[in-house]
Order: sequence, then C-alpha cells, then structure tokens
Amino acid sequence: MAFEELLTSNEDWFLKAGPSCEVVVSSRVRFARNLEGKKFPHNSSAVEQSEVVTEVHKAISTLPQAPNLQFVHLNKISSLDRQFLTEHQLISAEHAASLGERAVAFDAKEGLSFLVNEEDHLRLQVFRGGLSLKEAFQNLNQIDQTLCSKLHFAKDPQLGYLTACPTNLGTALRASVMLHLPALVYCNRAAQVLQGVTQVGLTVRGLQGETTQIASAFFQISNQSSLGKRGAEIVEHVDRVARQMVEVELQTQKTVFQEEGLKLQDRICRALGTLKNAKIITLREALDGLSALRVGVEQKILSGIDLPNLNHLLILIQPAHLAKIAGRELNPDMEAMERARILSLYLKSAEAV
Amino acid sequence: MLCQKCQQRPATVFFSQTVGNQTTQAHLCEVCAQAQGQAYGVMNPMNFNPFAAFSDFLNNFMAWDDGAIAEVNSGRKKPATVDPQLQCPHCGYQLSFFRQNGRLGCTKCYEAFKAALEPLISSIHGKVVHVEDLPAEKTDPLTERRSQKPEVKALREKISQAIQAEKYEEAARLRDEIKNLETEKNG
Repeated sequence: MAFEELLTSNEDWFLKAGPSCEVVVSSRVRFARNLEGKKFPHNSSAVEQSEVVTEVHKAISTLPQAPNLQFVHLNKISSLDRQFLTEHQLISAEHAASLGERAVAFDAKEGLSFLVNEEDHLRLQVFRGGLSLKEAFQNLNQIDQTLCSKLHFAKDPQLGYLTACPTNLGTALRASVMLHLPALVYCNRAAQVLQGVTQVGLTVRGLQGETTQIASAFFQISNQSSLGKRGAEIVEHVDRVARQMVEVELQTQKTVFQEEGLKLQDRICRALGTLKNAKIITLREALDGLSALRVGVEQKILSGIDLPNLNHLLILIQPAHLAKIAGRELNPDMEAMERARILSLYLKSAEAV
Repeated sequence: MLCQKCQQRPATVFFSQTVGNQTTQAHLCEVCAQAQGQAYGVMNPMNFNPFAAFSDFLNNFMAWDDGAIAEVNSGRKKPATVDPQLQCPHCGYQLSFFRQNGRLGCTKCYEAFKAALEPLISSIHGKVVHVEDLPAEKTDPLTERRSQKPEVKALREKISQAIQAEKYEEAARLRDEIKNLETEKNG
C-alpha cells in the first residue's frame, strides 16, 4: 500500500479553519482544459491517452509548484489506493473508476490537484477550508495562465474552452462550496431555502438526513452555467449566495437555541456519548453524529475539540482511510469496528461543557 | 424494475424523503437520481459529486429534446434535419454517440456538429458567448479596483468617516478626488 504519509500529515488544507468555517466546510474551484486537436479521453486509444499524460506531465513539471507535487499513474495503483485518493479529495470518483491511462499530480497540503484524462484531458482543482472561493480561484488562475504558455488548450472565440461535455464550455469553471445547514434542516426550512438557491442559477446537491433531524445536513452549491460570464464573476456570485446561506443558517441556529436550547443540547451530548463509546458504527450514523458535534462546537456546548478536528474525522471515517489505518482490507463489520475505534480515539478529550 | 422517471434504465437507487408526516419514495436510475440533486451514493460529505456536470447536462439535454419533440408534435416546428449518423471528419465520432453518453469525441466535434449543438448549448447556458477573464493579477476585484497608493488609502478612510457622519457631499467630493488620483496613476 502507498500514500501512508497522507494519513499522518497534519498540514492538509482541511485541517485549517477557514473563513465562515462554522457553516462552510470547504470551497473548491476547478477548470477543465483540453489539448487542441486531440481526441477526448473516453474516445482515445491507450497510446493516445498516454501521449496526453506525458505531455501534460511535462508541462506540470515546469510549474513553480512542481517540487511539492506527487505524480501518480492511477492505472498502476490498487483500487483501494484510488478510493483512498478519492476520499482525500485528490481525485474524483469518476477518475478513480474509469479505465485507461490516467494520472494525477497533487499537493495534498494545498488541496491542489491536476487530474489527467478524467472527463477532459486536464482538470485543475483547488480546495480550501471554509469559504475561500476567491482565494482558490486566484490561485488556480495563476497556475492556469502559466500552463497556457506551455500547452495548447483548445479554445473557441464564441464557446470559450472546449470540453468533452457542453455543460462545461466557456470558462470551464466550476465553483462549489460544501455547506453544513443543521438548523435549517432541523426547522424543515432547508428545502425551501435551497429552492431559492436554484432559482439564482446555482445547482444544489445534498444528503438529506433520515434518521435524526439534526442529521448530516451537508449540501453542496455550485454554478450551473460556465459560459457567458467571466470566471471572477461566477466565483463572486457563488460566494455571495454562500454568504447569505451562512447568515441564514447562523440566524436560524440562534433562534432554535433560544427556543429549544435544552433539547438540542441533549441531542448533541447524546451524539458525543455515542461517538465516544460505540464499538460498531456505520458511516451514516457517524456522519449524523459528527454533524451534531459541529453544532456543539459552534454553540460552545462541547470543549476539547474544534472544527478542523471534525473535518479531519469526516475524512478518516471513510472506508479506504480506515483500511489504510488498519493496514489491511476490511470487511464491512471490521470496518464499522475500526470506525468506532478511530472515533473514540480522536474524541477522547471532547467533553460537554 | 425500471426507473420511474425515464422508464428506460433499470432503477438502482431507492430513496425516501420525509417532509413533515409525509414520506415519499422514489425508484430511480443512477442518472435520474443524480439529476434529482440527490447525491445519494456519495456518503462522504466532503466529496463533491463527480458526475454532476454530466447529469446536469443530461437533464438539460433531455429537457431540450422533449421540448423539441413537443414542438414537432404540435406542428409548430418541422422535425430537425440533423442526421444522427453524422460523423466528425477529424475523429470519426458520430452524433448518435453523443446522444447516448453526452460527450463529444474531440474538440473539432463542436464544428462538425454545430447545427445540432447550437440549440442545446443555448438551452444549457443561455444565448451567450464566452467572456475572457482578466489576466491573473487583475482578477481580484479588490486589487483590480483599488489602488494601493497611500494617499488614496487615506482618502478612503476619510470617505468611511464622512459616510458614518452622514456627510454625503463630503464623501462624494473625496470619491472624485480618488478618481482623479487613479486616472493620473493609470494615465
């Protein structure tokens, strides 16, 4: 197995508290780029694909960021390792699952990765903790401009950057933020508020809670269209909507705590008890519990733990991470046990105030 | 079981949603489930849905297609004369493949399938053309708009003070002063 060093790193982007991190888990910006005259990855032969990998690798190696980049041929590593990189936000699930010659160059600390031969020849992306879309965009824009002088990207004056799928034309930019909206979910207002978000040209994806009401209330919002506006404007728009969501969520939290403080406190403390003491726990239950703990930290009901720790746990409790920690492949029962062990270990010093 | 939405692909996703006392259940295929905005399978909340772009597109594509069919059926529009066997001269990709998987064969396909793609692209993005981004160092709206000159900075502070004191005329005068300074600088 490889990439063990990613488990022990304590400098990864998600371990830093970013702006508005009490509501915004992470921000991500990505650009899609294709090489002029070459067939798109899904339509090319292994030889053509590896030519693209070589060409892009060469260009990336000349970047100032190159010394910190790790270059990996995805078809040469195990599927567990690919899943691990997916959980670590360095490649997409599609990139992990696709066949053929494909590669990634990444800097886990900076949340920066170059996905080669995913849907497009090259996808560059940057993750940041909290609401930091603008910073992520600037960072990526600079890298993109350096690459532009080394690679011939396919571009049309009307359509902008040409991409395998027409949804990405234009700037080929997608700006997304992952929001945690527990109070809105608790009040059954999330659907209504998010409906409003879709009406201003953004896409919402979510994981609705089923078992408890403060469930894993995580939602992603991103721009729907990438053509006809400057990248900076798209980013500004998503950022503005995200800010409004932060405001609405915090306001709602304040109100529900005024009205039902003890009930919520009870729920949060119970979640802590479960996560600290369970011996077998599913991913779903762990996510619901971590969602409640986030609220506990924000509302200063819990001590001995902070949001970056909780971000870290969101990643560590995923299947491939648990297998990596255990040092072997795990069946579902063993995985649930390992998850419980990790949670109680990391939450050892967490306490109700 | 077939997907309740498209009635074409097998349903592989089952989800239920409880709103108040009402529970609704749906049996969908992967594509329609994604299009519904339910990133059901991506249990990692830190993870962004990798199939998002594709499903957004399909969603739009289908909507457009249905619209076109409705228009044809109602006799308002003649059937489109786009040949699904049409091939891209550069890579040999067929338009029909695109209809199946939502992806083009190469960058030249945009030219080869222009007639078929144009209405689709405007239905996704609107009738717009690409706008170039400013060079990297200018993309930050703050540095773009704001000069770093110390005298401008001082004036800006004065503006804030003037606004707080509700001296709007004073603020407007200061604003013009900054404008002059900045034109000088750029000119």
